[in-house]
Amino acid sequence: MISIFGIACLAIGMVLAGYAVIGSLVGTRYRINELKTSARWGFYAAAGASFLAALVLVGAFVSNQFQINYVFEHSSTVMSRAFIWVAFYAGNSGSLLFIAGILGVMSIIAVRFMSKAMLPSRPYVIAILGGLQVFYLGLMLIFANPFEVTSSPIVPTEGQGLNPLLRHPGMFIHPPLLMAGLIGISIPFALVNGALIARVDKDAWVDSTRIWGIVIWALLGLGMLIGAWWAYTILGWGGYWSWDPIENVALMPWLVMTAFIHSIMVQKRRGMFRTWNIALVGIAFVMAQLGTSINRGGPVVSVHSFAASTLGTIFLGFMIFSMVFTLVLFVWFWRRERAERRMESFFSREAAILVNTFMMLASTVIILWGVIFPVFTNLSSEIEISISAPYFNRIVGPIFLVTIFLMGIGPLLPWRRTTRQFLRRWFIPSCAVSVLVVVILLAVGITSVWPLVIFGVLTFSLMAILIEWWRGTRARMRAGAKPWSAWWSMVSDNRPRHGGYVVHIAMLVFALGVTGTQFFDIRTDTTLLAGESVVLRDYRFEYVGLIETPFPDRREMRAQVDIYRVNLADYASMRGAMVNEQGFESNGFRVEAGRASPNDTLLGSVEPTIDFYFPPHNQASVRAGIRSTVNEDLYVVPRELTTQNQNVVLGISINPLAMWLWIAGPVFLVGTVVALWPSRRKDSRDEYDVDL
Amino acid sequence: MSLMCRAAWIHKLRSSVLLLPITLIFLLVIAVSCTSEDIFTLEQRAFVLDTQILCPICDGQSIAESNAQIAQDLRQIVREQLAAGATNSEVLDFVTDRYGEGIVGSPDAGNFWGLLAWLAPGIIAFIGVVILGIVLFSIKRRTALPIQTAPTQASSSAPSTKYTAMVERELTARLANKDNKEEESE
Repeated sequence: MISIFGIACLAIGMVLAGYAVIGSLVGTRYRINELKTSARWGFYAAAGASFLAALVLVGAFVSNQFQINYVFEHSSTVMSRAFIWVAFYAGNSGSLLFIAGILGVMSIIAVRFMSKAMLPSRPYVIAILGGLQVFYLGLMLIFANPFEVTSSPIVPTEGQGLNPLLRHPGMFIHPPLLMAGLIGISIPFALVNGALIARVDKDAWVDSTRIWGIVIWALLGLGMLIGAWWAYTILGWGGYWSWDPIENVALMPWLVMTAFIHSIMVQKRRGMFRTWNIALVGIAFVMAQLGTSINRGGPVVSVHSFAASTLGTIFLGFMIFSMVFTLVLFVWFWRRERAERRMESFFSREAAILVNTFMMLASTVIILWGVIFPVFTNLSSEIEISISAPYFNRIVGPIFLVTIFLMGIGPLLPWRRTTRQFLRRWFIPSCAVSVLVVVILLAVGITSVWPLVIFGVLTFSLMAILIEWWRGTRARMRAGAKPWSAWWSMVSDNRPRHGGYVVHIAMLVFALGVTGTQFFDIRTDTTLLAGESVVLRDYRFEYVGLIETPFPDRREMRAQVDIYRVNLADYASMRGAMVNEQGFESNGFRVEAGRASPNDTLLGSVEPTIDFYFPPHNQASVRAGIRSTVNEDLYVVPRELTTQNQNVVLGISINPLAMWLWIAGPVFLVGTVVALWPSRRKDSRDEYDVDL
Repeated sequence: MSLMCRAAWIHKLRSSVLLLPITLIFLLVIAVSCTSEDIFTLEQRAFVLDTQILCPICDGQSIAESNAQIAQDLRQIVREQLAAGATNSEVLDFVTDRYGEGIVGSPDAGNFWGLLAWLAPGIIAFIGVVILGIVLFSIKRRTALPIQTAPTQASSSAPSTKYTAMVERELTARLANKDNKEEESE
């Protein structure tokens, strides 16, 4: 029976993981090598058992094992077949199993591929990762068993199906990336602390933690971006980040890891900031535990969280335990980790990276404050405070701006100290161009302060990177290379650095998208009969008709909306008072059926959809119709689509620069890959610090 | 023509000249999309207010996002108020009078707790800057050159430590130069 096999995997995995922990520690203490080896193999087997259990659960879904409660709750034969493969991480216990499984896979890789200098730390790394496995497997076996079978004598032949809100392409990528990223922080955490306990050579852990750190950071970042895209396609006007507590608890460890991957560069290059890095990875790890605790019924409500349960309290307890554990290790071992190198100038890259670390930590604390403060004030019934998107946007906006500026100036600062050449070659030209940009934008008609400042800073940072690339390419071209191969060989010779530049460009691109959508969007709500249109700015949105399609699991109502580009002069007579049908001053105006101008050019059509799901869900899920171009998105979301009275209520918005938000994703990925790609030359200049 | 001849004109260009087309392209993207007139119609104001008012039963969503009945009712109330001529803050006051302070997504800085909520990030940032300053100064000061802390022990070997310090300073300066030169030619 598949569920017994699954439970057996969990139980055997837990026992083996426990054995691995104890065996590693005892074997190291009493120097019994056979025990250490046996514990290591036990660890591999435990990790494998977790992964196998996850596969078994997937198998249970694929083969419609509805006698298993969890499969019954999240699967059905009528939902789209593709979701069978991903429904297993939709609920609480299944996502715990996914986490245990992916932790298992990553643990095997981390332990198996250790450098020689790190080998003494291996038993402790196994102990830490094994301990985590014991925790997750034990949790599942006792509190949240995904393989639990129904106690009723009648075996269900049909399930309830996946939550309608999750039946979206994003379901395939967003949760796995996010969960892998959050639990993956355990790997660099284990490596660093294992190395600390084993007292290995001080910089033995730099290379592997740098690689793991960047990989996990990239997974988490992409996971968040895809989540934002998912929200964008279904929310009311194209919002993509609502500062929901669950979003925040994924963002916070990501910010700390951002600090880590920059600070680790300084350690690699100059042997400094070792203590900071140990602290940063510990903080990120604890933040990730906080995230899990909030996600599973912790003290803060969120649309994302699973139903409240005892698990929330258990995870909170585990988070406090990991905080204590991390702190104890840090205090016990930190004194020997102090740097011997000196920082010579405040205008050096080392100093800039330290500033970055502080900015990331300060942002994390501020966001944490925003998440936790309402929890405390809500304890008293007299104080009513809600902290949500308006608060965060106003606070984080300026911080984001300073970060963008640092992104431009930071990589330009030389190691050790700055020279006058720096000012002449980079700083002044970049400033000049950004001032030019602001002036031109003013001339074009953009007068609001914030967007101007942001565009100016974006330009500055972009120019800084481009100047750097231009100078490097030109230097190689002087030696005879063609332009493209010059640029490529420059990148190739120092992949971490230029990969980093590409990632910075991805952030600038993302910031561009944020600025456009936040400051320049324009929307209108309207009620239309078939044939009627609404004109918003210089577009006309015509409601053509409604198509109703029955599916086994839902009734799909699709509205077809044709989009035209108009010449506003043609509509001068209709424009009169821009009021909607309730007499409310509106951003757009209505055009009756048949009165549209024939000069309008048809750009295309979009199909906003509402899916009405049958029992047991009885929910509706919405999908916007989006027409994306490089400079703006035309976004139509259905508020109400009913066939009875023949009219539809649509929310229409124009979101400038929205596409750049998503373009940032692939650019980010490319940059990360370039930064991580190993270089063939072992003696590349950035690898070893030729220092005194 | 040799490769070098053909590419010779590029060598004469200063970086600044090439920046111009890049800037213009960048601008084109922004300008084309963002040149809508600032429309502060009632509807636009209503949308902004929608994002600031929370739906009381919806786990933290604003009434702009939620389609629950109460969210729709609240949206209607906002629009009615605006149509009657209320300012943005009057609308928010109207809503908080009926539903409590918690319905607005950002705390009111007028009372103590709200003020605390707004001040805290500034305080955190300030503390961060102070700690950063302390750290920077202490790193700079802590790892000063050994010669400055060793005169008590090294009286008999003073000449050699003096020369050691000279050599180290010279090498440091040369290395810093080399570091920066390396980076320029990359």
